[in-house]
Amino acid sequence: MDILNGFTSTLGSLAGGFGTALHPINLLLLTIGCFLGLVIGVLPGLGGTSGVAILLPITVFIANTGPGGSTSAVIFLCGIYWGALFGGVITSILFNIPGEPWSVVLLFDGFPLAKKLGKPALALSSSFFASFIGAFIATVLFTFFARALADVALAFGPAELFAVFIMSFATLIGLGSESPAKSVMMIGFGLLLAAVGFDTLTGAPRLTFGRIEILSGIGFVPVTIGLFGMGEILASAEEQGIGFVERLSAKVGLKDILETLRELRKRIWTVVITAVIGFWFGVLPGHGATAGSFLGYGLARQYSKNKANFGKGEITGIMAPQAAADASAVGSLVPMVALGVPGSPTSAVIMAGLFIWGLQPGPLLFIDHPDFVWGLTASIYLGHLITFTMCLLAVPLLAKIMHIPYAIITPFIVIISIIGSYSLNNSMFDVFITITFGFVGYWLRKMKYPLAPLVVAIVLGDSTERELRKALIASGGSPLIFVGSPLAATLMILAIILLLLPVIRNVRERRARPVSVDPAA
Amino acid sequence: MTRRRFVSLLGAGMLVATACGGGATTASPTPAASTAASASVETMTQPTRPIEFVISTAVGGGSDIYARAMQAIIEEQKLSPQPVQPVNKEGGSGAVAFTYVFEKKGDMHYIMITLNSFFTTIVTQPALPYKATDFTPVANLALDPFFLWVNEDSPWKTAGDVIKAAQGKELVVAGTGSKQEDEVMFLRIADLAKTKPFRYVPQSGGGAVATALAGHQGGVEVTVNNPSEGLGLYQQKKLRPLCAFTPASPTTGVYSGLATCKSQGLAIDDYYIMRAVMAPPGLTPAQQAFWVDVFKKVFESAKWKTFMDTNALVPDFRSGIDFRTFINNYQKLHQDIATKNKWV
Repeated sequence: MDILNGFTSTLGSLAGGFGTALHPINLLLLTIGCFLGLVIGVLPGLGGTSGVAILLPITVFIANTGPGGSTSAVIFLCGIYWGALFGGVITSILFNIPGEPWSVVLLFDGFPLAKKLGKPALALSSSFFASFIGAFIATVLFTFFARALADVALAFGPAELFAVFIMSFATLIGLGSESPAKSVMMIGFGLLLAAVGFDTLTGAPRLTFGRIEILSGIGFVPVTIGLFGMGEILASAEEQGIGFVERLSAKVGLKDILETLRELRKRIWTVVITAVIGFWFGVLPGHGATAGSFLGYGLARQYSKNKANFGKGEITGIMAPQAAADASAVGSLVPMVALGVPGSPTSAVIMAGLFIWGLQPGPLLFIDHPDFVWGLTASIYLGHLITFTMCLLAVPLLAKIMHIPYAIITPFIVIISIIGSYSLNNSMFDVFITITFGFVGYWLRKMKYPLAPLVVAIVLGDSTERELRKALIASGGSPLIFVGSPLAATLMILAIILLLLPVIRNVRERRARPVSVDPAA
Repeated sequence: MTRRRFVSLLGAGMLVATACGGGATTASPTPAASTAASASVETMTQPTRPIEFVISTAVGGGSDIYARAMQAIIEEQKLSPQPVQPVNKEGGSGAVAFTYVFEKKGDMHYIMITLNSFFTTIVTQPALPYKATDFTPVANLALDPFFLWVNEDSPWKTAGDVIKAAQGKELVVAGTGSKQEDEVMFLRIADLAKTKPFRYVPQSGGGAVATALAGHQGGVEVTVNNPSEGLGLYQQKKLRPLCAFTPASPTTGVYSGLATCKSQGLAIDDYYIMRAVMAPPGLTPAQQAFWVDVFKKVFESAKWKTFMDTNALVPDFRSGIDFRTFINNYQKLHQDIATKNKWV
């Protein structure tokens, strides 16, 4: 009975929230926010986080004059976040450059599907549908379970998080390579790059060769812009542009949407499950859409029947990470609202906004400012609906970009790559990194080294190391901490199983196969 | 749409993109441009182009929140003839930002928000080619006190209980970053109360420290969070402050009436996080005076007063010789701590 009462009162509050969010001016602000977010998302380098940060001063004005006060301001800021989530994938899919950190994983399958298989419209609409569904599921979870889940998330300490990261690695090992040895080498290279810079735990500079600009480390965004965007251009230039264009489906239209829906129906459970996992990952304070998208991709790949297609334009490889990324972005608002601690870098900026508008983030928001909380919640539903509609309408136009001859578009890709990496930190060093990794990427492609494991290791390496060391410091060096709590033990066992699964499967397949058919084995 | 039209449209789009990317993030001047401008820069007393407000932590960190609040006040009250743009230069526990501003010698178009990492990092990184005292001090706007925190379910009720426990076994504690202010506090506590060494687990920021304590992550039992960092979880009854490392109990806000640590046998009341503004080395007295005046007005604004109340900051405006003395004292304090703990 209590649960039912809680449910109906939540629905009542939510209806009130929709009342706030649907105020014409709030709706207008939300639409502007989503549109700005889309543009910011499309530009590589200028991420959703910095987009929100740059526009933060404007929100002071909105909070003072808008019809909902700080609610109008937060609706506007969150609109930017949602827009950027959708916008980032456009750059990944069309230009092979990550528009946002969380669209890095979209490079693995998005660009191949758009370019090599000639289906840009399918690739784009797949990601948009997945985003929308992921966000919707996450928002429903947010509406009903935000406060309860935030409490559970608190118990996730370094040992538990380390197990989760090991799971991510386990599901992503062997990605895009026939040779496990090459994968392992690439993971090692990625971990080495991730280690560069100031060590937050001991305070010592590592692998900086005494240079100040390397102190802040090598960012994975300039590296991936180089590896994928520039590297691909160099590789294609050598092959004289390749006849991609001929393979493009001539017309873009309703047909692609219908095909997307058909493909989505086949994968609906994968999308739902990765969305739930992504949401949960977002709820854990301090992590966000980027790590969530990698975990979503890895898990979907591990359990897919078309495992071999991953990295070559598999639709699940677009839908799963995108659903997870959007869901974890929504999830990252949970600790902000329910605990008063940021769930992701972007939500940290939104939280800074709350302070500036004179609100105290945390559980008291539900009691002191219910209008704010429920207006925000309602705007998450609306914001995604608006962004989704805008994106879907833009698909035909965006897909046409692929028809532009490679010779014309290449200089633009180079320019936006360089501007993108420069604008990350206003630093020429990042541009240098991007160009260097352009050549590295080209060479690795030629030598048939897989790029995906390298990227995974750069993105997750630092966090994994930090959690491992934090756990060991807390336990005084005893590894027993990783099985010290029931939660940690369960997660660790799962991680180990995931790690061993491919090995076992491999051995079994080899045994089942007659030796003569497989001379390579 | 014909292909040609579309290509030109795309071209235009790219141009806009370029413009936005540059405009929104304030391209720093090329070395040539800044040399050419330096002649006039030295004689000016007012900024003539947009100002970069450099922040040494990532977006959303404590400094970031404070800097953006100050910037909002400057914009709102039109205290500067040119726009002030926050720029995050995180990394290296502040070293990246300090170096960036240090290299802008004599240019008043750069200011920087600083906290104690301005001392701890510079002292412990001998490779850095400058000292804290090399920069042009502008003003201190507030002092952020430390509290002693435990989880709500902890049996310890006073600082004395914590000390007694810490004398018996190695307690797991958390704080922001290694060799940073939180660790300085724990070392002082261990030294003063003759406890066993603390197992100090560095976290990525103040919010993470509070979360670690609230969730007993990795067995964390005590922290020395700032009031603003623990507020959310305190109101949710997940954390409990035992005492304040201040000379007197807070008299306003939610922490009103909290006992001092000194009254519970832990006599530390002289250590705060400064929330101060610095400028590059070599500003002229007139240029320095311009910024002192701006931040004096920020300090006096009603908005900043509310902001300090919300975040339990201690109002503390210092500039000129007063602020220089403060910097010299803090510089020496951190140098001594670093030497004593063999960090240098």
